[in-house]
Amino acid sequence: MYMPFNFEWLSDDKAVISNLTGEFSVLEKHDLLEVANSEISERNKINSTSTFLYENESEKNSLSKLHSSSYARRTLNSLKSPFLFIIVPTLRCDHDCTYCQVSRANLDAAGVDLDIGSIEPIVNLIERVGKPPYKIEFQGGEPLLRFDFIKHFINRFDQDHGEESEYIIATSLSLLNNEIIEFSKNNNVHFSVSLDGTSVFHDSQRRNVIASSHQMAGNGILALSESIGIDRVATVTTITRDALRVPQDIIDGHNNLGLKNMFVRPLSPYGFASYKMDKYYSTNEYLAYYSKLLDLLVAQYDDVGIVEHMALIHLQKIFRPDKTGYNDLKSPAGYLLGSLIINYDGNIFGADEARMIYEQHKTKELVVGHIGNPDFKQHDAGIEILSNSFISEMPMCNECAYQPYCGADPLHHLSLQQDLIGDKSTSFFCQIQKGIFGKIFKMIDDKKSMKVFDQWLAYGSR
Amino acid sequence: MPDEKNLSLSFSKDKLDELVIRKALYQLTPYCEWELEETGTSWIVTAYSEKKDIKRVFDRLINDQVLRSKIDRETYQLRRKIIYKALSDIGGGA
Repeated sequence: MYMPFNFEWLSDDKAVISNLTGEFSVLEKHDLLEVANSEISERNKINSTSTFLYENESEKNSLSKLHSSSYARRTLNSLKSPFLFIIVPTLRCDHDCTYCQVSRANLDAAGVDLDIGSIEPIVNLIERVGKPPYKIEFQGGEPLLRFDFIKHFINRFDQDHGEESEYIIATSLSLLNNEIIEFSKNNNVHFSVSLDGTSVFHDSQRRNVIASSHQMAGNGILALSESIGIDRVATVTTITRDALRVPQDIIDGHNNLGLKNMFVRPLSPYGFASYKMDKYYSTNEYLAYYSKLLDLLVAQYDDVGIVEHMALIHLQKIFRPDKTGYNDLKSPAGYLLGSLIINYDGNIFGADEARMIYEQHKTKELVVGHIGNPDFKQHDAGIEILSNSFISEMPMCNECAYQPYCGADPLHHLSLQQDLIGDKSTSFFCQIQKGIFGKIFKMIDDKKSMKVFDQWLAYGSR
Repeated sequence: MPDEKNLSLSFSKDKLDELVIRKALYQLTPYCEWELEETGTSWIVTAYSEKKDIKRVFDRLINDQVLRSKIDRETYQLRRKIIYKALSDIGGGA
């Protein structure tokens, strides 16, 4: 007999099965049918410590307790993950990127900056809501336009929490200078830099009127690498239509700069980016690109040694779920429970996507509070969003083999389908996640790929 | 522009649950528009698609849902008990 499980086809002949413990196994089709018909002849065809099969009531009871405690632990993991605070000191930006999701403002715009005086209430908010270790990220616009704010904030926060805080600046590095480098060296500042491949692709999408955005990013990465170390520089790559043709380009773009880590994501049809739909591609097109990219990274690992972090996050969800707090793959969702965003106008949001939806549609219900009066008790939308983010009870999710590792992303579905749960059969989020998990499980089933994945997992456990 | 060729399929109610048909249709949505009607003894599915392989796609989805339905029938009660206990333990520990 068998415990509850789900399956997904990896090919016509193979399927992956998983259960509430998060255990999985890749089976040949005939073995899956044998399990479903309770005809499996050899239990070790499933896996050596099978949590899938039982022979008597005693085994069934033991496995039930195991399934229950594992499911509880996974759910609690989503509720207790590390907390991220995002601060948007300005909406002004010196770039005009084709896929920008926020309503970026021109350099001379007024009324789109956080006042230095808001630092104290923000610090009070973080101390009230969060606990160490603190992770604080500055976004924009281009946050380095307000390095004065960032410097003041870090100096103030470090007075009480210097030993237990990590700061990240999400920037194009166009405004990096020696003062910023020196300050970052002496404080625990990390950088998240957009790098969309070599200059051909990067500059065509990330436009700056002064100089080549790619050259500025590249020079900045090299300068930071020499001064604060390459480990404190991470990249984010947004794949555009033109880049789909050449997966090797992003590998070369990183390798040329000595970067050993990349994070690749598709164009996200959020916020203001949704107005530029002609730049988009189908999920199948993106997944075909991503599949080739992973194959290339694995094949070239001995030479270039690059870890792709979107894949690593998925691997961690499968093998080491306590090691990742990635908000998009949480059930219940990471909204409010995993992050808070303090916008340039002092409004507080429960997720970055909520800020983007608000900027587009002025949806007041998504404003959690204001730094001047952070009362979270009246946020009815938060209860509604979180209540509709348990994927074990959602159509299609409830019978998906990737459910133990996946998440809800209610704001994605609210933005694109005007429903918090959404229709998963046409969901961009679902198609992308199923595609990534499907590819990863196929590669897990291949010894050579899994050897590289083991090294990625070891890196992720540092 | 060619006319849409409708695919019409009939399923005996004795052989297939309504839920199996509906779940398969839910997954057919990305491929084409569809309608579901019923008589006293049958489910009638009309799929609006020019693609020749739509029947093959739908057969695969039905087959998939039949297998899932079998597994679900065998394990539904046990699954509910496991999840209920897990959530009770979380609530007790909070």
